[in-house]
Amino acid sequence: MSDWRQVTRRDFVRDSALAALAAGSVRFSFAAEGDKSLVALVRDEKAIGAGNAVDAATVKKMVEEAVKAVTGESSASAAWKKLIKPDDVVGLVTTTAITPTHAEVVAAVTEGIKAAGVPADRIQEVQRKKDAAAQCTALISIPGLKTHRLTGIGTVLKNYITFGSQPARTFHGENNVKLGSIWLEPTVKGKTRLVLVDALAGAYEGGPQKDPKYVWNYNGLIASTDPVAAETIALKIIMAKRKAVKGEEWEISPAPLCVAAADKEYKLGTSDPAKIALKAIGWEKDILISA
Amino acid sequence: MRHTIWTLVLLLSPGAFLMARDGNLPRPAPPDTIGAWKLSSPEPQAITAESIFEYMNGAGELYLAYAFRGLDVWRYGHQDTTITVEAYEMDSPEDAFGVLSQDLGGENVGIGQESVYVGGLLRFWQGRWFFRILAETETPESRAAVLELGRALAAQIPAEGRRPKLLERLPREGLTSESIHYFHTHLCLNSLYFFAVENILQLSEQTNAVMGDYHLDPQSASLLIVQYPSTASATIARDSFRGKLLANLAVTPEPIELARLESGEWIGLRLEGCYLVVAFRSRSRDLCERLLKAVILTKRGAQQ
Repeated sequence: MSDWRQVTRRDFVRDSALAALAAGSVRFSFAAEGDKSLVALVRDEKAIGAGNAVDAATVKKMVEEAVKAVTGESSASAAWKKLIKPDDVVGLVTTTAITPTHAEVVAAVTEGIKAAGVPADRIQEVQRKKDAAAQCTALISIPGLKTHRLTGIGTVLKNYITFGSQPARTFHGENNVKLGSIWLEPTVKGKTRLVLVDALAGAYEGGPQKDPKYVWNYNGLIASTDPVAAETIALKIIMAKRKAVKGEEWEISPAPLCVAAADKEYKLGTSDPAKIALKAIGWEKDILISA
Repeated sequence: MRHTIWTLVLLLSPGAFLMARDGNLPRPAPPDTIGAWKLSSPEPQAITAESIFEYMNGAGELYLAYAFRGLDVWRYGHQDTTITVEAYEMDSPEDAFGVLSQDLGGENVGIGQESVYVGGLLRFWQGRWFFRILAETETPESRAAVLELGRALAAQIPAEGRRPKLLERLPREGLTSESIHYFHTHLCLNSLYFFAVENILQLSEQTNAVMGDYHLDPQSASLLIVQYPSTASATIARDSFRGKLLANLAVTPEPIELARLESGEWIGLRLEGCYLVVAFRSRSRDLCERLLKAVILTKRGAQQ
Protein backbone atom coordinates (compact mmCIF):
# COMPACT_ATOMS: atom_id res chain seq x y z
CA MET A 1 0.00 0.00 0.00
CA SER A 2 1.42 3.35 -0.93
CA ASP A 3 1.03 5.80 1.93
CA TRP A 4 -1.76 4.82 4.26
CA ARG A 5 0.48 5.56 7.23
CA GLN A 6 0.29 9.20 6.28
CA VAL A 7 -3.49 9.33 6.57
CA THR A 8 -4.72 11.87 9.07
CA ARG A 9 -8.10 12.97 10.26
CA ARG A 10 -8.14 15.63 7.55
CA ASP A 11 -7.60 13.02 4.84
CA PHE A 12 -10.15 10.68 6.28
CA VAL A 13 -12.81 13.35 6.50
CA ARG A 14 -12.11 14.39 2.95
CA ASP A 15 -12.15 10.69 1.98
CA SER A 16 -9.43 11.36 -0.53
CA ALA A 17 -6.23 9.79 0.71
CA LEU A 18 -7.41 6.25 0.38
CA ALA A 19 -8.49 6.87 -3.16
CA ALA A 20 -4.84 7.27 -4.00
CA LEU A 21 -3.84 3.90 -2.67
CA ALA A 22 -2.16 1.48 -5.00
CA ALA A 23 -3.97 -1.14 -7.02
CA GLY A 24 -3.28 -4.44 -8.70
CA SER A 25 -4.90 -7.61 -7.40
CA VAL A 26 -7.84 -9.89 -7.99
CA ARG A 27 -11.49 -8.89 -8.21
CA PHE A 28 -14.00 -11.58 -7.48
CA SER A 29 -17.22 -12.22 -9.35
CA PHE A 30 -20.18 -10.72 -7.55
CA ALA A 31 -23.91 -10.69 -7.70
CA ALA A 32 -24.78 -7.42 -9.32
CA GLU A 33 -27.65 -5.27 -10.38
CA GLY A 34 -26.48 -3.60 -13.53
CA ASP A 35 -22.97 -2.48 -12.78
CA LYS A 36 -23.66 -2.25 -9.06
CA SER A 37 -22.95 -4.73 -6.30
CA LEU A 38 -26.17 -6.04 -4.86
CA VAL A 39 -26.75 -6.09 -1.11
CA ALA A 40 -29.95 -7.52 0.35
CA LEU A 41 -31.17 -6.29 3.71
CA VAL A 42 -33.89 -8.52 5.10
CA ARG A 43 -35.67 -7.63 8.33
CA ASP A 44 -38.56 -9.11 10.27
CA GLU A 45 -39.95 -7.78 13.53
CA LYS A 46 -40.78 -11.33 14.64
CA ALA A 47 -37.18 -12.54 14.37
CA ILE A 48 -36.41 -11.72 18.00
CA GLY A 49 -39.07 -11.75 20.67
CA ALA A 50 -39.31 -11.26 24.39
CA GLY A 51 -36.20 -12.16 26.33
CA ASN A 52 -34.24 -12.09 23.08
CA ALA A 53 -35.75 -15.41 22.05
CA VAL A 54 -35.07 -16.05 18.38
CA ASP A 55 -37.90 -17.31 16.20
CA ALA A 56 -36.21 -20.01 14.14
CA ALA A 57 -38.99 -20.25 11.56
CA THR A 58 -38.88 -16.51 10.91
CA VAL A 59 -35.10 -16.56 10.64
CA LYS A 60 -35.28 -19.43 8.16
CA LYS A 61 -37.62 -17.37 5.97
CA MET A 62 -35.30 -14.38 6.25
CA VAL A 63 -32.31 -16.43 5.13
CA GLU A 64 -34.32 -17.73 2.21
CA GLU A 65 -35.36 -14.21 1.21
CA ALA A 66 -31.78 -13.06 1.46
CA VAL A 67 -30.32 -15.71 -0.83
CA LYS A 68 -33.16 -15.30 -3.30
CA ALA A 69 -32.54 -11.57 -3.45
CA VAL A 70 -28.79 -11.95 -3.85
CA THR A 71 -29.00 -14.54 -6.60
CA GLY A 72 -32.12 -13.30 -8.36
CA GLU A 73 -33.67 -16.76 -8.11
CA SER A 74 -37.31 -17.24 -7.30
CA SER A 75 -36.83 -20.13 -4.89
CA ALA A 76 -34.43 -20.63 -2.02
CA SER A 77 -33.46 -24.03 -3.33
CA ALA A 78 -32.46 -22.61 -6.69
CA ALA A 79 -30.65 -19.77 -4.96
CA TRP A 80 -28.51 -22.11 -2.87
CA LYS A 81 -27.76 -24.23 -5.94
CA LYS A 82 -26.47 -21.11 -7.62
CA LEU A 83 -24.18 -20.38 -4.70
CA ILE A 84 -23.02 -23.89 -3.80
CA LYS A 85 -22.27 -26.99 -5.90
CA PRO A 86 -23.00 -30.52 -4.68
CA ASP A 87 -19.32 -31.43 -4.69
CA ASP A 88 -18.29 -28.45 -2.59
CA VAL A 89 -16.72 -28.80 0.82
CA VAL A 90 -18.35 -25.95 2.68
CA GLY A 91 -17.00 -24.00 5.63
CA LEU A 92 -19.22 -21.79 7.74
CA VAL A 93 -17.36 -18.89 9.28
CA THR A 94 -19.32 -17.58 12.21
CA THR A 95 -18.62 -15.08 14.97
CA THR A 96 -18.20 -16.07 18.59
CA ALA A 97 -17.54 -12.73 20.26
CA ILE A 98 -19.61 -9.67 21.22
CA THR A 99 -22.57 -10.43 18.95
CA PRO A 100 -22.23 -14.16 18.27
CA THR A 101 -23.82 -15.57 15.16
CA HIS A 102 -27.20 -16.97 16.16
CA ALA A 103 -27.54 -20.75 15.99
CA GLU A 104 -30.85 -20.28 14.16
CA VAL A 105 -29.07 -18.46 11.33
CA VAL A 106 -26.42 -21.15 11.09
CA ALA A 107 -29.11 -23.84 11.06
CA ALA A 108 -30.99 -22.13 8.23
CA VAL A 109 -27.82 -21.74 6.19
CA THR A 110 -26.86 -25.35 6.78
CA GLU A 111 -30.27 -26.47 5.66
CA GLY A 112 -29.96 -24.43 2.50
CA ILE A 113 -26.56 -25.86 1.69
CA LYS A 114 -27.88 -29.36 2.19
CA ALA A 115 -30.72 -28.49 -0.17
CA ALA A 116 -28.08 -27.65 -2.74
CA GLY A 117 -26.95 -31.25 -2.56
CA VAL A 118 -24.03 -31.05 -0.14
CA PRO A 119 -24.09 -33.84 2.44
CA ALA A 120 -23.88 -32.90 6.10
CA ASP A 121 -20.42 -34.37 6.51
CA ARG A 122 -19.07 -31.85 4.02
CA ILE A 123 -20.42 -28.85 5.90
CA GLN A 124 -18.52 -27.68 8.94
CA GLU A 125 -17.89 -24.70 11.16
CA VAL A 126 -14.35 -23.47 10.47
CA GLN A 127 -13.92 -20.28 12.47
CA ARG A 128 -10.45 -20.39 14.10
CA LYS A 129 -9.77 -23.66 12.26
CA LYS A 130 -7.38 -22.56 9.57
CA ASP A 131 -6.50 -26.04 8.38
CA ALA A 132 -10.14 -26.96 8.02
CA ALA A 133 -10.85 -23.75 6.14
CA ALA A 134 -7.98 -24.53 3.80
CA GLN A 135 -9.65 -27.81 2.90
CA CYS A 136 -12.91 -26.10 1.96
CA THR A 137 -13.84 -25.26 -1.59
CA ALA A 138 -16.56 -22.84 -0.54
CA LEU A 139 -17.00 -20.53 2.44
CA ILE A 140 -20.10 -18.85 3.77
CA SER A 141 -19.14 -15.98 6.04
CA ILE A 142 -21.74 -15.34 8.74
CA PRO A 143 -20.36 -12.61 11.01
CA GLY A 144 -22.22 -10.70 13.70
CA LEU A 145 -22.82 -6.99 13.19
CA LYS A 146 -20.43 -5.08 15.43
CA THR A 147 -17.84 -2.41 15.97
CA HIS A 148 -14.46 -3.14 17.47
CA ARG A 149 -12.21 -0.77 19.37
CA LEU A 150 -9.15 -2.31 17.76
CA THR A 151 -10.29 -2.40 14.14
CA GLY A 152 -13.10 0.16 13.93
CA ILE A 153 -15.67 -2.12 12.41
CA GLY A 154 -15.45 -5.80 13.29
CA THR A 155 -17.99 -7.38 11.00
CA VAL A 156 -17.19 -8.74 7.52
CA LEU A 157 -13.51 -8.14 6.79
CA LYS A 158 -12.40 -8.98 10.31
CA ASN A 159 -14.32 -12.24 10.29
CA TYR A 160 -11.38 -13.94 8.53
CA ILE A 161 -8.75 -12.54 10.87
CA THR A 162 -7.87 -15.98 12.26
CA PHE A 163 -7.08 -17.19 8.75
CA GLY A 164 -4.27 -14.72 8.24
CA SER A 165 -0.64 -15.77 8.10
CA GLN A 166 0.09 -13.18 10.77
CA PRO A 167 -1.34 -12.91 14.31
CA ALA A 168 -4.64 -11.09 14.70
CA ARG A 169 -2.96 -8.23 16.52
CA THR A 170 -1.08 -7.44 13.33
CA PHE A 171 -4.31 -5.95 12.06
CA HIS A 172 -5.25 -3.89 15.06
CA GLY A 173 -5.24 -0.15 15.52
CA GLU A 174 -4.28 1.72 12.38
CA ASN A 175 -3.26 -1.60 10.82
CA ASN A 176 -6.92 -2.46 10.37
CA VAL A 177 -6.33 -0.95 6.95
CA LYS A 178 -4.69 -4.26 5.99
CA LEU A 179 -7.56 -6.55 6.94
CA GLY A 180 -8.48 -7.01 3.29
CA SER A 181 -5.14 -8.67 2.64
CA ILE A 182 -6.33 -11.74 4.55
CA TRP A 183 -9.03 -12.30 1.98
CA LEU A 184 -6.30 -12.83 -0.61
CA GLU A 185 -4.49 -15.51 1.37
CA PRO A 186 -4.65 -19.04 -0.06
CA THR A 187 -6.76 -20.35 2.82
CA VAL A 188 -9.73 -18.24 1.77
CA LYS A 189 -8.97 -16.52 -1.52
CA GLY A 190 -11.81 -16.81 -4.00
CA LYS A 191 -13.79 -19.21 -1.82
CA THR A 192 -16.41 -16.91 -0.35
CA ARG A 193 -19.72 -17.60 -2.03
CA LEU A 194 -21.86 -15.53 0.28
CA VAL A 195 -21.49 -13.03 3.08
CA LEU A 196 -24.49 -13.15 5.36
CA VAL A 197 -24.21 -10.69 8.23
CA ASP A 198 -26.22 -11.75 11.24
CA ALA A 199 -27.73 -8.39 12.16
CA LEU A 200 -30.51 -9.80 14.31
CA ALA A 201 -28.59 -8.03 17.03
CA GLY A 202 -25.79 -5.55 16.54
CA ALA A 203 -23.19 -3.78 18.65
CA TYR A 204 -22.76 -0.15 17.71
CA GLU A 205 -19.84 0.53 20.03
CA GLY A 206 -17.23 -1.37 22.00
CA GLY A 207 -15.37 -4.58 21.42
CA PRO A 208 -13.39 -6.77 21.78
CA GLN A 209 -15.53 -7.63 24.79
CA LYS A 210 -19.27 -7.54 24.95
CA ASP A 211 -20.89 -4.56 26.60
CA PRO A 212 -24.67 -5.01 26.76
CA LYS A 213 -25.35 -1.30 26.75
CA TYR A 214 -24.24 -1.06 23.14
CA VAL A 215 -26.14 -4.07 21.82
CA TRP A 216 -29.48 -3.56 20.12
CA ASN A 217 -31.91 -5.78 18.29
CA TYR A 218 -31.97 -4.83 14.64
CA ASN A 219 -33.83 -7.93 13.46
CA GLY A 220 -31.96 -8.01 10.19
CA LEU A 221 -29.72 -9.97 7.86
CA ILE A 222 -27.37 -8.36 5.34
CA ALA A 223 -26.45 -10.53 2.37
CA SER A 224 -24.14 -10.06 -0.58
CA THR A 225 -21.52 -11.82 -2.61
CA ASP A 226 -19.48 -8.62 -2.41
CA PRO A 227 -17.87 -8.56 1.04
CA VAL A 228 -16.92 -4.90 0.83
CA ALA A 229 -20.39 -3.83 -0.21
CA ALA A 230 -21.83 -5.86 2.67
CA GLU A 231 -19.34 -4.24 5.06
CA THR A 232 -20.18 -0.81 3.70
CA ILE A 233 -23.87 -1.30 4.37
CA ALA A 234 -23.11 -2.74 7.81
CA LEU A 235 -21.00 0.31 8.57
CA LYS A 236 -23.71 2.69 7.41
CA ILE A 237 -26.24 0.99 9.66
CA ILE A 238 -23.87 1.18 12.62
CA MET A 239 -23.10 4.83 11.96
CA ALA A 240 -26.80 5.64 11.68
CA LYS A 241 -27.45 3.84 14.95
CA ARG A 242 -24.66 5.77 16.65
CA LYS A 243 -26.09 9.04 15.40
CA ALA A 244 -29.56 8.06 16.56
CA VAL A 245 -28.26 7.22 20.02
CA LYS A 246 -26.06 10.28 20.46
CA GLY A 247 -28.14 12.79 18.56
CA GLU A 248 -25.14 13.84 16.51
CA GLU A 249 -22.45 12.30 14.35
CA TRP A 250 -20.48 9.80 16.41
CA GLU A 251 -17.40 8.63 14.63
CA ILE A 252 -15.89 5.22 15.10
CA SER A 253 -12.37 4.96 16.49
CA PRO A 254 -10.07 3.66 15.26
CA ALA A 255 -11.14 4.87 11.86
CA PRO A 256 -12.34 1.85 9.85
CA LEU A 257 -9.78 2.41 7.12
CA CYS A 258 -10.12 -1.25 6.18
CA VAL A 259 -13.35 -0.73 4.26
CA ALA A 260 -12.05 1.70 1.67
CA ALA A 261 -8.73 -0.14 1.50
CA ALA A 262 -10.49 -3.44 0.79
CA ASP A 263 -11.91 -1.72 -2.26
CA LYS A 264 -9.07 0.49 -3.46
CA GLU A 265 -6.10 -1.58 -2.42
CA TYR A 266 -7.22 -5.18 -2.33
CA LYS A 267 -9.96 -5.03 -4.97
CA LEU A 268 -12.31 -7.20 -2.96
CA GLY A 269 -15.44 -5.29 -3.88
CA THR A 270 -16.88 -1.83 -3.72
CA SER A 271 -17.11 0.59 -0.83
CA ASP A 272 -18.67 3.29 -2.97
CA PRO A 273 -22.33 3.68 -1.99
CA ALA A 274 -23.06 4.88 -5.52
CA LYS A 275 -21.96 1.47 -6.79
CA ILE A 276 -24.08 -0.53 -4.35
CA ALA A 277 -27.69 -1.49 -5.04
CA LEU A 278 -29.38 -2.01 -1.68
CA LYS A 279 -32.48 -4.15 -1.78
CA ALA A 280 -34.43 -3.80 1.46
CA ILE A 281 -37.00 -6.49 2.18
CA GLY A 282 -39.47 -6.68 5.03
CA TRP A 283 -39.78 -4.69 8.21
CA GLU A 284 -38.99 -1.00 7.74
CA LYS A 285 -39.25 0.40 11.26
CA ASP A 286 -35.93 1.75 12.53
CA ILE A 287 -34.20 0.44 9.41
CA LEU A 288 -31.63 3.26 9.72
CA ILE A 289 -30.74 3.14 6.04
CA SER A 290 -32.57 3.87 2.83
CA ALA A 291 -32.47 1.70 -0.28
CA MET B 1 1.46 -1.60 58.82
CA ARG B 2 -1.39 -1.30 56.35
CA HIS B 3 -0.42 -4.63 54.81
CA THR B 4 -0.30 -6.28 58.22
CA ILE B 5 -3.80 -5.12 59.03
CA TRP B 6 -4.95 -6.16 55.64
CA THR B 7 -3.47 -9.62 56.04
CA LEU B 8 -5.39 -10.02 59.29
CA VAL B 9 -8.57 -8.97 57.55
CA LEU B 10 -7.97 -11.60 54.91
CA LEU B 11 -7.30 -14.33 57.41
CA LEU B 12 -10.49 -13.54 59.29
CA SER B 13 -12.64 -13.31 56.18
CA PRO B 14 -14.65 -16.23 54.80
CA GLY B 15 -13.76 -17.71 51.43
CA ALA B 16 -10.55 -18.77 49.79
CA PHE B 17 -7.68 -16.67 48.54
CA LEU B 18 -5.25 -17.37 45.77
CA MET B 19 -1.51 -17.16 46.02
CA ALA B 20 -0.02 -13.90 44.88
CA ARG B 21 1.75 -13.76 41.56
CA ASP B 22 4.83 -12.19 43.07
CA GLY B 23 4.76 -12.71 46.81
CA ASN B 24 2.76 -9.57 47.52
CA LEU B 25 -0.86 -9.52 48.63
CA PRO B 26 -3.00 -12.55 47.76
CA ARG B 27 -5.20 -12.47 44.71
CA PRO B 28 -8.94 -12.16 45.36
CA ALA B 29 -11.21 -15.12 44.76
CA PRO B 30 -14.99 -15.21 44.48
CA PRO B 31 -17.26 -17.44 46.63
CA ASP B 32 -18.25 -20.94 45.55
CA THR B 33 -21.89 -19.96 45.19
CA ILE B 34 -23.73 -16.74 44.73
CA GLY B 35 -27.51 -16.91 44.88
CA ALA B 36 -28.47 -19.84 42.67
CA TRP B 37 -25.20 -19.71 40.73
CA LYS B 38 -22.44 -22.19 41.35
CA LEU B 39 -18.78 -21.81 40.50
CA SER B 40 -17.74 -24.26 37.79
CA SER B 41 -14.23 -24.54 39.20
CA PRO B 42 -12.58 -22.87 42.19
CA GLU B 43 -9.35 -22.62 40.25
CA PRO B 44 -9.43 -19.66 37.92
CA GLN B 45 -8.40 -19.69 34.33
CA ALA B 46 -5.13 -17.79 34.70
CA ILE B 47 -4.41 -15.48 31.80
CA THR B 48 -1.02 -13.91 31.22
CA ALA B 49 0.20 -11.13 28.98
CA GLU B 50 0.97 -13.81 26.43
CA SER B 51 -2.24 -15.82 26.63
CA ILE B 52 -4.59 -12.82 26.76
CA PHE B 53 -4.60 -12.74 22.97
CA GLU B 54 -6.00 -16.24 22.77
CA TYR B 55 -8.46 -15.52 25.55
CA MET B 56 -9.80 -12.46 23.74
CA ASN B 57 -9.86 -13.95 20.26
CA GLY B 58 -6.65 -12.21 19.29
CA ALA B 59 -7.39 -8.92 21.02
CA GLY B 60 -5.66 -8.08 24.27
CA GLU B 61 -3.91 -4.83 23.52
CA LEU B 62 -6.37 -2.56 25.29
CA TYR B 63 -5.33 -4.21 28.56
CA LEU B 64 -1.67 -4.53 27.68
CA ALA B 65 -1.69 -0.82 26.89
CA TYR B 66 -1.80 -0.41 30.65
CA ALA B 67 0.61 -2.06 33.10
CA PHE B 68 -1.07 -5.48 33.07
CA ARG B 69 0.13 -8.22 35.44
CA GLY B 70 -2.42 -10.96 34.96
CA LEU B 71 -6.06 -11.94 34.70
CA ASP B 72 -8.06 -14.56 36.59
CA VAL B 73 -11.34 -15.80 35.12
CA TRP B 74 -14.10 -17.76 36.84
CA ARG B 75 -17.44 -18.91 35.50
CA TYR B 76 -20.67 -19.52 37.35
CA GLY B 77 -23.56 -21.53 36.00
CA HIS B 78 -27.27 -21.63 36.74
CA GLN B 79 -29.78 -22.98 34.25
CA ASP B 80 -28.98 -21.25 30.96
CA THR B 81 -27.29 -18.17 32.39
CA THR B 82 -23.56 -17.93 32.80
CA ILE B 83 -21.85 -15.32 34.93
CA THR B 84 -18.24 -14.65 34.04
CA VAL B 85 -15.93 -13.00 36.55
CA GLU B 86 -12.73 -11.40 35.33
CA ALA B 87 -10.18 -9.98 37.77
CA TYR B 88 -7.45 -7.94 36.09
CA GLU B 89 -4.37 -7.19 38.17
CA MET B 90 -2.57 -4.04 37.12
CA ASP B 91 0.65 -2.49 38.37
CA SER B 92 -1.03 0.56 39.84
CA PRO B 93 -4.41 1.90 40.94
CA GLU B 94 -4.05 4.58 38.28
CA ASP B 95 -3.95 1.96 35.57
CA ALA B 96 -6.84 0.02 37.13
CA PHE B 97 -8.84 3.23 36.87
CA GLY B 98 -7.48 3.72 33.37
CA VAL B 99 -8.94 0.43 32.19
CA LEU B 100 -12.31 1.34 33.68
CA SER B 101 -12.11 4.77 32.09
CA GLN B 102 -12.14 3.25 28.64
CA ASP B 103 -15.87 3.49 29.21
CA LEU B 104 -17.38 5.17 32.28
CA GLY B 105 -20.95 5.08 31.01
CA GLY B 106 -23.43 3.31 33.25
CA GLU B 107 -25.09 3.22 36.63
CA ASN B 108 -22.89 3.91 39.63
CA VAL B 109 -23.69 1.02 41.96
CA GLY B 110 -21.24 1.98 44.69
CA ILE B 111 -18.98 -1.02 44.43
CA GLY B 112 -15.23 -0.72 44.79
CA GLN B 113 -13.65 2.67 44.39
CA GLU B 114 -15.68 3.40 41.26
CA SER B 115 -18.18 1.26 39.41
CA VAL B 116 -20.52 1.20 36.45
CA TYR B 117 -23.29 -1.29 35.74
CA VAL B 118 -25.42 -1.71 32.64
CA GLY B 119 -27.48 -4.62 31.37
CA GLY B 120 -25.80 -7.42 33.31
CA LEU B 121 -22.26 -6.06 33.11
CA LEU B 122 -20.54 -4.69 36.22
CA ARG B 123 -17.15 -3.01 35.87
CA PHE B 124 -15.22 -1.50 38.76
CA TRP B 125 -11.78 -0.83 40.14
CA GLN B 126 -10.41 -1.30 43.62
CA GLY B 127 -6.76 -0.75 44.44
CA ARG B 128 -4.76 -1.96 41.50
CA TRP B 129 -7.48 -4.36 40.40
CA PHE B 130 -10.04 -3.94 37.68
CA PHE B 131 -13.05 -6.26 37.66
CA ARG B 132 -15.47 -7.15 34.91
CA ILE B 133 -18.45 -9.32 35.85
CA LEU B 134 -20.93 -10.23 33.13
CA ALA B 135 -24.23 -12.11 33.31
CA GLU B 136 -25.03 -13.29 29.81
CA THR B 137 -28.71 -12.64 30.45
CA GLU B 138 -29.85 -9.90 32.77
CA THR B 139 -32.67 -10.75 35.13
CA PRO B 140 -33.39 -9.33 38.59
CA GLU B 141 -31.72 -12.44 40.01
CA SER B 142 -28.63 -12.26 37.83
CA ARG B 143 -28.26 -8.54 38.52
CA ALA B 144 -28.36 -9.22 42.25
CA ALA B 145 -25.81 -12.00 41.86
CA VAL B 146 -23.45 -9.86 39.79
CA LEU B 147 -23.58 -7.02 42.29
CA GLU B 148 -23.10 -9.38 45.22
CA LEU B 149 -20.08 -10.92 43.52
CA GLY B 150 -18.68 -7.46 43.01
CA ARG B 151 -19.11 -6.60 46.67
CA ALA B 152 -17.53 -9.89 47.74
CA LEU B 153 -14.48 -9.31 45.57
CA ALA B 154 -14.10 -5.63 46.47
CA ALA B 155 -14.16 -6.56 50.16
CA GLN B 156 -11.05 -8.66 49.68
CA ILE B 157 -8.89 -5.80 48.42
CA PRO B 158 -7.76 -2.71 50.27
CA ALA B 159 -8.92 0.55 48.78
CA GLU B 160 -5.70 2.23 47.85
CA GLY B 161 -4.61 4.82 45.42
CA ARG B 162 -6.96 7.17 43.67
CA ARG B 163 -7.75 8.53 40.27
CA PRO B 164 -4.67 9.76 38.39
CA LYS B 165 -3.72 13.26 39.47
CA LEU B 166 -3.49 14.36 35.87
CA LEU B 167 -7.29 14.25 35.73
CA GLU B 168 -7.32 17.25 38.04
CA ARG B 169 -5.88 19.30 35.20
CA LEU B 170 -9.10 18.97 33.24
CA PRO B 171 -11.20 22.10 33.80
CA ARG B 172 -14.40 21.21 35.64
CA GLU B 173 -16.85 23.58 33.96
CA GLY B 174 -18.84 21.79 31.28
CA LEU B 175 -16.94 18.50 31.65
CA THR B 176 -19.07 15.41 31.06
CA SER B 177 -17.98 13.10 33.85
CA GLU B 178 -18.52 9.85 31.99
CA SER B 179 -16.44 11.04 29.04
CA ILE B 180 -13.20 11.03 31.03
CA HIS B 181 -10.40 8.73 29.88
CA TYR B 182 -6.94 8.03 31.23
CA PHE B 183 -4.40 6.21 29.08
CA HIS B 184 -0.84 6.10 27.84
CA THR B 185 -0.52 4.92 24.26
CA HIS B 186 -1.49 5.73 20.70
CA LEU B 187 -3.50 2.51 20.51
CA CYS B 188 -5.77 3.71 23.30
CA LEU B 189 -6.11 7.19 21.85
CA ASN B 190 -6.93 5.66 18.50
CA SER B 191 -9.66 3.56 20.09
CA LEU B 192 -11.19 6.78 21.44
CA TYR B 193 -10.55 9.35 18.74
CA PHE B 194 -8.81 9.27 15.39
CA PHE B 195 -6.25 11.99 14.74
CA ALA B 196 -4.00 10.08 12.41
CA VAL B 197 -2.76 6.63 11.49
CA GLU B 198 0.71 7.59 12.58
CA ASN B 199 1.50 8.18 16.24
CA ILE B 200 1.81 11.92 15.65
CA LEU B 201 1.49 12.74 19.36
CA GLN B 202 4.43 10.46 20.18
CA LEU B 203 2.46 8.61 22.84
CA SER B 204 4.07 5.70 24.67
CA GLU B 205 4.12 3.82 27.95
CA GLN B 206 6.08 6.79 29.30
CA THR B 207 3.32 9.29 28.61
CA ASN B 208 0.20 9.90 30.66
CA ALA B 209 -2.88 11.29 28.96
CA VAL B 210 -6.36 12.36 29.98
CA MET B 211 -9.24 13.27 27.76
CA GLY B 212 -12.75 14.59 28.31
CA ASP B 213 -15.74 16.06 26.51
CA TYR B 214 -17.19 19.47 27.23
CA HIS B 215 -20.66 20.78 26.64
CA LEU B 216 -21.03 24.48 27.19
CA ASP B 217 -24.26 25.37 25.42
CA PRO B 218 -24.56 25.72 22.59
CA GLN B 219 -21.03 24.53 21.90
CA SER B 220 -19.08 21.37 22.55
CA ALA B 221 -15.44 20.35 22.39
CA SER B 222 -13.02 17.74 23.65
CA LEU B 223 -9.80 18.27 25.51
CA LEU B 224 -6.69 16.10 25.60
CA ILE B 225 -3.83 16.68 28.03
CA VAL B 226 -0.64 14.71 27.56
CA GLN B 227 2.14 14.65 30.09
CA TYR B 228 5.50 13.78 28.55
CA PRO B 229 8.66 12.65 30.34
CA SER B 230 10.36 15.94 29.50
CA THR B 231 9.85 19.33 27.99
CA ALA B 232 11.96 18.28 25.04
CA SER B 233 9.76 15.28 24.26
CA ALA B 234 6.63 17.39 24.62
CA THR B 235 8.04 19.90 22.16
CA ILE B 236 8.91 17.18 19.68
CA ALA B 237 5.36 15.83 19.96
CA ARG B 238 3.85 19.28 19.47
CA ASP B 239 5.96 19.84 16.37
CA SER B 240 5.03 16.42 15.03
CA PHE B 241 1.32 17.00 15.61
CA ARG B 242 1.43 20.47 14.10
CA GLY B 243 3.47 19.33 11.14
CA LYS B 244 1.33 16.35 10.29
CA LEU B 245 -2.16 17.52 11.11
CA LEU B 246 -2.05 21.28 10.67
CA ALA B 247 0.20 21.52 7.62
CA ASN B 248 -0.85 24.18 5.13
CA LEU B 249 -3.40 25.66 7.50
CA ALA B 250 -3.38 29.12 8.99
CA VAL B 251 -2.33 28.66 12.61
CA THR B 252 -2.38 31.41 15.21
CA PRO B 253 0.95 31.99 16.96
CA GLU B 254 1.92 30.48 20.30
CA PRO B 255 1.09 30.11 23.10
CA ILE B 256 -2.44 29.24 21.96
CA GLU B 257 -2.21 27.81 18.47
CA LEU B 258 -5.57 27.54 16.72
CA ALA B 259 -6.40 26.25 13.27
CA ARG B 260 -9.55 25.49 11.36
CA LEU B 261 -9.70 22.21 9.45
CA GLU B 262 -11.32 21.81 6.06
CA SER B 263 -14.24 20.13 7.82
CA GLY B 264 -14.95 23.36 9.67
CA GLU B 265 -13.79 21.93 13.00
CA TRP B 266 -11.30 23.85 15.10
CA ILE B 267 -8.20 22.40 16.70
CA GLY B 268 -6.11 24.18 19.29
CA LEU B 269 -2.73 23.47 20.85
CA ARG B 270 -0.95 24.68 23.92
CA LEU B 271 2.50 23.58 24.95
CA GLU B 272 3.74 24.29 28.44
CA GLY B 273 6.68 22.49 29.98
CA CYS B 274 6.18 18.78 29.64
CA TYR B 275 2.48 19.17 28.91
CA LEU B 276 0.77 19.36 25.57
CA VAL B 277 -2.91 20.30 25.55
CA VAL B 278 -5.12 19.76 22.52
CA ALA B 279 -8.65 21.11 22.13
CA PHE B 280 -10.56 19.48 19.30
CA ARG B 281 -13.90 18.20 18.01
CA SER B 282 -15.38 21.67 18.13
CA ARG B 283 -17.14 24.09 15.84
CA SER B 284 -16.21 26.92 18.15
CA ARG B 285 -12.89 28.68 18.03
CA ASP B 286 -13.81 30.53 21.18
CA LEU B 287 -14.50 27.38 23.14
CA CYS B 288 -11.23 25.79 22.02
CA GLU B 289 -9.34 28.86 23.12
CA ARG B 290 -11.24 29.10 26.39
CA LEU B 291 -10.58 25.48 27.28
CA LEU B 292 -6.91 25.69 26.41
CA LYS B 293 -6.53 28.74 28.64
CA ALA B 294 -8.52 27.13 31.45
CA VAL B 295 -6.09 24.23 31.89
CA ILE B 296 -3.84 24.93 34.82
CA LEU B 297 -0.43 23.37 34.41
CA THR B 298 2.43 23.34 36.87
CA LYS B 299 5.41 25.46 36.08
CA ARG B 300 7.65 22.65 37.18
CA GLY B 301 6.55 20.30 34.45
CA ALA B 302 6.56 16.63 35.37
CA GLN B 303 6.58 17.13 39.10
CA GLN B 304 3.09 16.55 40.47
